[in-house]
Amino acid sequence: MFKKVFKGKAWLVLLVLLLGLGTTIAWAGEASLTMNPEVINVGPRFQGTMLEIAGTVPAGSDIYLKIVSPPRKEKLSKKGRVGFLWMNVAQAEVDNIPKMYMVYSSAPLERLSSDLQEKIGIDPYFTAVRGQVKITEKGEGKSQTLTGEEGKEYLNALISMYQKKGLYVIREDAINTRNEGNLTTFTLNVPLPAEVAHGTSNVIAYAVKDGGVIAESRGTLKVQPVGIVGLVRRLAKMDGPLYGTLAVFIALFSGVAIDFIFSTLEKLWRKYVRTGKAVRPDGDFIAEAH
Amino acid sequence: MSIFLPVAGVQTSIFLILSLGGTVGLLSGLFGVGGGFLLTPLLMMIGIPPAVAAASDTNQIVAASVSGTLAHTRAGNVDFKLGLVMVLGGLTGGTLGTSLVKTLRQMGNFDFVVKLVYVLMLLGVGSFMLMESLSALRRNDQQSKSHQPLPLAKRLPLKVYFPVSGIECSALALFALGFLIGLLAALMGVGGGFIMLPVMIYLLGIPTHRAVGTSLFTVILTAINVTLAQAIVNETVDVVLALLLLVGSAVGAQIGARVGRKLKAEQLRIIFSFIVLGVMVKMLYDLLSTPPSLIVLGGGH
Repeated sequence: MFKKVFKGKAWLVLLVLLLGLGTTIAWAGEASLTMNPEVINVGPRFQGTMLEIAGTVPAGSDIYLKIVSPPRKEKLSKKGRVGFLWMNVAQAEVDNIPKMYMVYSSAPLERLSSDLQEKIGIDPYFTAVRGQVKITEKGEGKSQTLTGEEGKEYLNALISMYQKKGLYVIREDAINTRNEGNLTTFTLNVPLPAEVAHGTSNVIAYAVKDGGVIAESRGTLKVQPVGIVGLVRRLAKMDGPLYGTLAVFIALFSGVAIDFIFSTLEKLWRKYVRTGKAVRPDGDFIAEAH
Repeated sequence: MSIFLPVAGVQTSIFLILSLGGTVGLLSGLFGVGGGFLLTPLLMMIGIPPAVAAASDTNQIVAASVSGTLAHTRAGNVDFKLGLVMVLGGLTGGTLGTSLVKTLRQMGNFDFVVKLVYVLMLLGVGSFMLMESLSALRRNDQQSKSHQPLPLAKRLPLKVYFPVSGIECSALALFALGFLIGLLAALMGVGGGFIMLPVMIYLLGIPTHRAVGTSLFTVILTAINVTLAQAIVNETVDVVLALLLLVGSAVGAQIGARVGRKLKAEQLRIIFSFIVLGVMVKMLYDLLSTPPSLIVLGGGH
């Protein structure tokens, strides 16, 4: 009897689980994404890599995808004219700015309403980044926080530098799509430069139809230093005095070693070549030298 | 063949870095200067962030100056005793200068005055050395090798004889000169080699080849001091970049020291004066020409 009741309950639990799983599968079926690789190891031979992203969205929807790295600080300096000379006139610190902000889509960005652009943080001018940064300028003995137009000059310059390095990207119509029944599958190749942002970046794909987001899928991309790159970075950040001392000792040792090699070579040169013993046709210079 | 630099976070060619190091090392061996004035901007041009370029450059100078000093030592061209007194003054002056920079910056237009003074000083030193060496070479005047120390340097207390340099001079005066060089170098944001060599030759009367060797010895201690400071305060020393640079520069310094021995003192001073004038022209150009971009990544010299 007990066994029968238990069996009945187990079936019920299984049914509920299956229903739940079914919902997840259905949701994931609406929008999903996979990345290859999901973890990028940065070693001494790293030259950048190609990230392959693939996924599905409901049929007939446009795909807008962004890759955003963790925020950090960046220091800038500004030149200006003092009298007749060009010099550094101010320093600024831009805080809370991601090093990488990449936007790819299967349709033009102008198809998104401005409200939707703001909501999903995708527009042609990186407005989402501009809205979240804090810029502090130091110059002529005073420090001030710049907002809006005042900070625009710094931010434009920094974003332009990132764009040149291939870290801030906007590519419309770059995602390849194919309709398969009630789903659209997509593929995208993202070239990541050697200067790719380290840490865990968020990758988000939005399926947009009839002016709204009907599904979204999220993933993470981990970029981590390994081997000598990881060791040096960790040591430089965690223990400056030890790292500095090691750097000095390596330099001292190398200087002494290279001097030793040169002086030995010079002695050999004097011994064999200058005395002419090395060029004797009978090839007996070693015996002569001893 | 390329390599990813861990702290700089960029990928670059191994051979390019080695050859840059080699060129700068040659200058170190020849003239007893660190060469950061040339290497830092070159590294920035190939995409190394300014702060990393300046700090790693200092680290490689340690190796180049050790290598060059040892090569000069064998030729009997390094006065360790004199160099040590001057470098003690230099380190004291450098420390004071670093804190003085902060105070002076708050007064406004500090950089303007400093850069202008530096350009004028390079112009003065470079032209004077060029004229003096040319006339000495024309007269074939061997006497010009032995300048005399400043009268004041002789009169001050704590007089010491320095057999390698062949001069008798007040240790206090040497310390004071080292202090001034350190102070000036900190204010200018440079290593000080350009000021050290002319001071040793013309104000202390040290023969040119010995001045080069001794100047290079003082660079070792200054560069160690700055490397440690950069690693601790800014965390910007890229040891992989420095290692590549220093292999090139330590080899370059050996070659420089050997080439230098074959040159006459006057010839050495003429080439040095051309380099000083070249640096002056480059600085003046940077100050007068409109920069390609007004906002750049910060943290360099």
